[in-house]
Amino acid sequence: MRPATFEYLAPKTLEEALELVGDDSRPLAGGQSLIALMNLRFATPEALVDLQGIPDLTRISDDGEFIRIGAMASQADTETNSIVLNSVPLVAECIREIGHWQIRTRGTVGGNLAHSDPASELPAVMVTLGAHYHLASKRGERKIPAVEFHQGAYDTALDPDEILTHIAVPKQKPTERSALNESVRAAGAYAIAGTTSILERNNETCLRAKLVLFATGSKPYEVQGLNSVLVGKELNSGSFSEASELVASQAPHFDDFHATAEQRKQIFRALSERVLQETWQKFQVGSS
Amino acid sequence: MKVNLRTQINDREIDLEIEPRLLLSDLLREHLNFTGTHVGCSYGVCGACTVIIDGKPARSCLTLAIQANNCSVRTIEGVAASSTFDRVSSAFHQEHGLQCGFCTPGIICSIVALTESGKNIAEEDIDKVVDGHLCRCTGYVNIRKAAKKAVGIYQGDENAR
Repeated sequence: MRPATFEYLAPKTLEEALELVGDDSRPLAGGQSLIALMNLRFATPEALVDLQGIPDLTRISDDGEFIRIGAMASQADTETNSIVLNSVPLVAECIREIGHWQIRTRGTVGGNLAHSDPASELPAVMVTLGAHYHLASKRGERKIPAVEFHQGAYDTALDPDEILTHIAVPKQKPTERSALNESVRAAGAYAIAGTTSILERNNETCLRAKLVLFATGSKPYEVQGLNSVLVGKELNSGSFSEASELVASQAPHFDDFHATAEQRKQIFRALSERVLQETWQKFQVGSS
Repeated sequence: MKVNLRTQINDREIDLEIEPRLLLSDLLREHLNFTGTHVGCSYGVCGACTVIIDGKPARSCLTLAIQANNCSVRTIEGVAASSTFDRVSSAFHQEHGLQCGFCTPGIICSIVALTESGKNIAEEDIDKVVDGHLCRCTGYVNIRKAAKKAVGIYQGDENAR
């Protein structure tokens, strides 16, 4: 199949782009999801506003507290960017799991987030890290936490006249480590279940723990009550096993062609124990 | 409304009025007769349509032709004319890295882009690149061997033949 007809607009500045986007005039980032949807005629926008001609939107910078990733930074450039690798390593680790290299060369960070696919790793990572998204429109700018931006499957807090300009990700503190793992049928395929976690410690004692589930339900889900299981305790495999029971009790239970509810519960139990172990091990080897 | 596309494809300067909805894969095949770029799934999964855009491998079925404006695009025809191609094609020949050949142009474009990236290539990088291509006949054992030989990290098993 081929896309239906549309008008193509190529603004050179963000201001021009904001004049052009609206109800059925949609931003085009890397197109790695949108053009597939257009080829299948699931998406038939009247106009596309191509953002690739706006160089400001691809910048990745460190402002001391946050790593700011331009929405149009390609996934391939972001996963190899030294600022990202050093200060927000989970973002690089996560991007390596998105599609394939041949997709990530054109796929963008902002495009992935604005598409808000429930099986995508990146929204969950942004929720885990407490990132903020910066949105612009002719009415002005606003910032919104990742957890509020992702409202459901392919549904976000973006208004039709808004463009996601950049993402501010808090830099990893020396006392923090994070990890991600997922269950997939084949390399590069959609995840059946996934988990991301961040742990903060003081010596061997846990100060803060957060675990987010993805690829199930309609948006990233933060496991509730995890701090009461882990905080103040010495981090070890026993506490992770207890935490994984908590995750299993909260993991969405439904059957589909990928897995039964019971299998899903077991996958989440195993993944969450593993992801916490992996996070913890990163402290031991002193790596990020 | 048509748009003006200026781009370089296999060292040929292109200046064309096109419909915005024209996919890069269709521009290559239908308008420029570079039919070595194959179209399999048309939604980015199979990798048959992979070409090299500004040095990076990309799906031409998920790229509008107009998105390649002011870019440099290389297809398998352009790659075949380059100096690196001899080693790659010999490796695929010697290791039986292709059978029907439908997926091969895409795989070779990816491998060539990896070679030219200047990266120090490890076995894992080959797997990550081959991951992005579906093959339904040759099998990945030989494709991986051929790809590793093409980038010079595998010499081949002389006793195997």
